[in-house]
Amino acid sequence: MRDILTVGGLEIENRLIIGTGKFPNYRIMEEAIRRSGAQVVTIALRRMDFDSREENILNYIPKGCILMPNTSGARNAEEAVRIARIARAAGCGNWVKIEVITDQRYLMPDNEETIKATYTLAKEGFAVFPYMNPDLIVAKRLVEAGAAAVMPLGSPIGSNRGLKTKEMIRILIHEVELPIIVDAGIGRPSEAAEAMEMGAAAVLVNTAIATARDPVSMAQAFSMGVRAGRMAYLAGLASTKEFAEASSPLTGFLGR
Amino acid sequence: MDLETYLRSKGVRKEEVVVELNLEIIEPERWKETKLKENDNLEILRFMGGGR
Repeated sequence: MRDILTVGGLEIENRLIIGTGKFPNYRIMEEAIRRSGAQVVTIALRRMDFDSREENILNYIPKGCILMPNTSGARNAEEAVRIARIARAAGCGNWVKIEVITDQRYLMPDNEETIKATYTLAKEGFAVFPYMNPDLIVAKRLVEAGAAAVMPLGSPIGSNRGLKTKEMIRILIHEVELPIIVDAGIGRPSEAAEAMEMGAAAVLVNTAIATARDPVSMAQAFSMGVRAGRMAYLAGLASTKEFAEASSPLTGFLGR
Repeated sequence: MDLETYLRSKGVRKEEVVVELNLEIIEPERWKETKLKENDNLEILRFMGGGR
């Protein structure tokens, strides 16, 4: 039986979402996406620079990939909404990741503005994927606001510090009915696997793949980590114990 | 000058951009009939890799 994630009106089988920033070039980015089998990628919207004629990233994203434009650059709900509408007008579907950040040191998302943007965009028919600082009450508001999923950060963007917010993520997984997609700070395949073992629906990884020495292989490693973690979760992880429990019974020789 | 002429003069292809004029999104079909005026706020946007 296939293990499918149904979210935002679409079905995906690969639970690794890849962010497209920071790759050495678009060719490597494309190969990394292909090698990992990722079906969803995030992209950003920026003002065109007439002096530096960069290539069109859309030419390097494999056909069939679902695009999740993000509202990076937005400092408040209004800007996030504006970016989302522009992204949809560009014809890349109705998915949008809300990213509202004013904190320049830790790039912490503004949960309050994110909730507002979610309400507005969900009403306009977007499949809204809000990036947030894990907080159960905020997550519940996002559910009410009509989000398609909730994307809690693991640790600061680009920090590769792993699941520092693990306990809060665990609470979200237990209490929130929407898919929980861990996004930001995942630095190793083992950390992606850990998020999946906890019951996350998917993970988003960018920096750890794009800035690896070999991004293409790293993308593959992450994909394998995500699959391993998911499979372990579905297989029913054994409980942890305080004391040892022998693997085999005592044999009745050696005087016992 | 109309929007289409302006964009063509900049070498912009319609598949790669979204145009926002005074906070309103203008689809390519309307570029020819849209005239640019002084003090217009024109944003030409495209996708690129990344996020924050």
